[in-house]
Amino acid sequence: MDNKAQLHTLEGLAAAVLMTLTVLAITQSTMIVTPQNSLAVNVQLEQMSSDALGVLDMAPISLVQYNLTECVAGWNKTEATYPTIKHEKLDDALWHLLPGLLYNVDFAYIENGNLTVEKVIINGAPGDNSVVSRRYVTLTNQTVHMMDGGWSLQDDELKVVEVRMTAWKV
Amino acid sequence: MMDEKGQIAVDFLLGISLFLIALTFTVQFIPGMFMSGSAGESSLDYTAYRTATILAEDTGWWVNNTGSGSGTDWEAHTSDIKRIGLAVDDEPRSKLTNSPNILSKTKIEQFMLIDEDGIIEKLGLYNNVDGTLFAYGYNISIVSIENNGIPFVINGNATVRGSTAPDDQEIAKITRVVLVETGHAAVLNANELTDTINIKGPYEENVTIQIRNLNGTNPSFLNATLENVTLTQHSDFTITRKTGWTSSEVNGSIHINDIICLDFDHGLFNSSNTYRLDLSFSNVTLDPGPPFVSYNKRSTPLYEPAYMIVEVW
Repeated sequence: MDNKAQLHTLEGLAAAVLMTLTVLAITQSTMIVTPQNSLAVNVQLEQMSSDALGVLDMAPISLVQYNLTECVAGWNKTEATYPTIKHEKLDDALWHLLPGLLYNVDFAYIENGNLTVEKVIINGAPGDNSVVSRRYVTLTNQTVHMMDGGWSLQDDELKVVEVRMTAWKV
Repeated sequence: MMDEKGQIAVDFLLGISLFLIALTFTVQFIPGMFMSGSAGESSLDYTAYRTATILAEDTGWWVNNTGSGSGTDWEAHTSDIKRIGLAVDDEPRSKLTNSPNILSKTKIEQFMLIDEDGIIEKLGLYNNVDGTLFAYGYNISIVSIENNGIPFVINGNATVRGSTAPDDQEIAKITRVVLVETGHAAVLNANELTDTINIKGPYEENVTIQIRNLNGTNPSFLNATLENVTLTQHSDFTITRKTGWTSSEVNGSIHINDIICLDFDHGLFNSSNTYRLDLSFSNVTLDPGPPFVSYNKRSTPLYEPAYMIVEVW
């Protein structure tokens, strides 16, 4: 007669099955966020925000009153303050194309040999998984004049402005 | 002395250690066993991304059997399709497009008619396991942003392909912001607009006229007549004003900065005649003509913002 506290074969098997079932139940019932999945979410966000800027830039005249270049040209050069002052025309367009997203927009351009970055739309502090997309537009004095904007350009001057949008999901 | 308390035996310790080592080894080396979102499934993400990108940014390509003909206008050569893409292209001989994310109406129309096997093969919606092809499930839809995600209807077909996504499976989904060609419109400045507009039928889609930069003090819209018959608002045509991205109905008076959109029912222009459309405003002076503005010469494609959603499982 063996009096030691040993594990019998059947009990061992039962314990093993129990442990495996527990591990299986936990892994199957919760959605594990693997790096690939959060990557996919970021890719989606980046894709949509760069699409929105692109679509706004290329939009034909029959669709929109002002395309991206005209929106930028019509800026009155007043920096945005939260929440009252922002670039209304651009905000209206982006809000229509990206419902459910929040975004801040900056304009970056060279003035007197220095890179100037001005905030034009502020919707709050960007979250952890924010993405930035960019689009360049070229302004002429003619466009600025037509849109009644605040830029002062010579008649033969071209100004390249980088539209920088930081977008995030809430 | 013999110890009869319940202590751990060395046998058990050895056994359980071996078991745990074996379990850890199995979990580590067969990633698909316990993890959802594993290597095998994440290839769905790439498939969805690739499919959405090809459809939105590429024009497609066809080559015939002898290799003598090729172009991006695959919608006119459906038996020789090499690649499916929906982006518009005005130069079908060259492979370049400068209009990604702008989708052509005729291409979408043909895309809805291609047979199931063709779609799966041309868009690569399958997994190749040791030479055997397993088709993925997919759902590709083009929905209106303004209309709360309702698919467009082009030529009587809703712009949806594939089956409904199942609830109990992992789905890879990519959404693209695109512009969809839904009809045509003539964009006219008030100073080039004449009282009369000539429209040569037949038209299968609504005839849209956009008027910009109307001048005058307190201008208002009176009526529209077609071949001297006064048209009824709402049933024959609608008139809206557009400020930025918002449209609202016009009841009489107009703001000077608004874009005026007149949308005429296509049923009014169903035979191949030249129709005479007269627009009448008060407090607006228009060029009485002739020559009259020709709608057919001035019309350009009309686009609507949309989401193209690709789901793969």
